[in-house]
Amino acid sequence: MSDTLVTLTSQEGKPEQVPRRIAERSTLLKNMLEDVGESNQPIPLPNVSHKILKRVLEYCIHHKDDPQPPSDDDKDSFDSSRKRSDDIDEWDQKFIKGKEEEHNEELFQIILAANYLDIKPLLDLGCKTVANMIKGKSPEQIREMFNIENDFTPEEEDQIRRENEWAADA
Amino acid sequence: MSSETVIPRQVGARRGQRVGLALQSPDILTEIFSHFHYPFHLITLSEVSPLWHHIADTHLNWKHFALRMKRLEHPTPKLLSFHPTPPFYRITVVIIAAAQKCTKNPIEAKFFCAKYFQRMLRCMFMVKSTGITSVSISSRDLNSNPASTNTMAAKFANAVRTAIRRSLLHLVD
Repeated sequence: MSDTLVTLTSQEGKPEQVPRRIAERSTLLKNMLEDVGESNQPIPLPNVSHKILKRVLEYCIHHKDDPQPPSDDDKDSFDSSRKRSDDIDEWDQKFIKGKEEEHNEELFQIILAANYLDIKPLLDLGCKTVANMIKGKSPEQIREMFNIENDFTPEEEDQIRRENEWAADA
Repeated sequence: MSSETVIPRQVGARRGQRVGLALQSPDILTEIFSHFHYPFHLITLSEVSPLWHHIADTHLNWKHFALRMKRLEHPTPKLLSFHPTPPFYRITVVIIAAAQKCTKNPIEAKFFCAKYFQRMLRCMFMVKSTGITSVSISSRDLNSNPASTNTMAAKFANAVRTAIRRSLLHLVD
């Protein structure tokens, strides 16, 4: 059963065939496949572009033999809420780095796809990478890096500045 | 920091729609923020945008930070067992963090904390029994260590005074 092929259809309507075992790295797809049983119907993924689907499948193929991550219910909630970000292996680092010129754009598309498809290790990899990019940066540098608009009102900014006064360098 | 003071809003993105979209998702931001382990990191994140402020606020687990930091300073467990409440964890973190920010010398930081914690213990009894919320600490209180300077002690006392006063108000509630 795990050797059968399933067809995934990307946002653009382009089909991509993968072994069921690979597709099942995604909890979303695993649950869908279990629900529908044996079926040749393609599974539409309207939130994932073909380019990103290929990248996600590349990750799933490389990690096909990894044990499934424990569910949230199985983890100790205190420990799981505090994670390391310096334990990314070499292949994963190269994978997530992608092409330099479209790094941010692709990284966030992969994170969105991993979140949508419920592939926890990939989501974790993406989020660790973003966390590492953010570390040591000021709020202004973070906004600049990710093109985030500063939409605090002046009153809010003033309030926050006063609240965080104790943490600022004297 | 209080989430009540800032209304969380979706962040805008000037360019790169997908980038903006990912950083508008509370689930994804929560995942990203779970990789930050120190209060100063989370305070920095809270200053990026209203949504980031909201998510960072939920991650500022003062108890967690206080327990992590307690190894730095002997009087801390005594203080935490005396009043194990969220505002008090926050006070502990504020004191230790302020000490570490004021001096890079870990022995001096410990000295500041120890002096302050001793004073805090006395103040806690006073606050609980009388409801008086103002706490004063002078740089002279901290300055019996020949290694420290007046300037350093004053800097430390100033760094914690505001936060302590605000947190003690919560304790009386």
